[in-house]
Amino acid sequence: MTLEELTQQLTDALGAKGKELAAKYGPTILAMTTNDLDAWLNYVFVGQYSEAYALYLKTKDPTGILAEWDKEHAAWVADNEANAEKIEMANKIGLEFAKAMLTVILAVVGF
Amino acid sequence: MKRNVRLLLMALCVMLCMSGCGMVANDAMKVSIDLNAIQAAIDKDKASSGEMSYQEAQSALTRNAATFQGYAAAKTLNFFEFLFNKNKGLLVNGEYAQRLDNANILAAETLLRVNSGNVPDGFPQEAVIKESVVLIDVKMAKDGKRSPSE
Repeated sequence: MTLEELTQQLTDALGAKGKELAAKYGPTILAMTTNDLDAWLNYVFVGQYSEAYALYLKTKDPTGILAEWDKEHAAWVADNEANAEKIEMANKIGLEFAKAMLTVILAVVGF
Repeated sequence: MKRNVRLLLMALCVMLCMSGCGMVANDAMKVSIDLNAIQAAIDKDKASSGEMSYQEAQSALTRNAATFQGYAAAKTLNFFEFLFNKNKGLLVNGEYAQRLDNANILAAETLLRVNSGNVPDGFPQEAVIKESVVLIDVKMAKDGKRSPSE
């Protein structure tokens, strides 16, 4: 199968998302041997995602490995952004809660 | 009544704290993550300035692979395991667990390629820069901060 055929099939099935997936993973998947692809699908089906990722990396050339590090960094940046936002929100809720409690306590002690 | 209110307040505080933390480290892991990030910053500067030899880069990649392996092994998604198992010093959410696993696998594969010698010139140094950036990302995750902009 060629990359064009894979892109066409995925685009027909999934639309724009399929085209994006074909561009991102197509060249690597097409470079995998039938045995590797078989093993990879097996890992995915049984939920051994780390093994599947390790097998996927085996097909990458050195430039591809460096590109994977860039992807990894981008994913960390996104996760850290989401994490920091959650912490800010939790701190805000905590502060509002403390303010409300302070009002109640002051009212109770007669200030 | 008072006891119930106190319990409710404690539960609220714990929920508030835990809801925001994607990664929580015990004291030993905090020190380890901080020191590894400092070393990563030094390695990154050295590799970026072109002052790092192939052997030095190889040694940095070996150290990084061991570090990522340690992080992956120390992580847990289980709060009680984090509390009672001293080998599980990193309590993480699902996203960070996946990130740590991927970084571990990627670092091992990168080291394998470099040790095989079948890599282009400059690859080990470039890999050191990229791995260092991710080691600093891990520290930012532990601190609950955003990653520094490049």
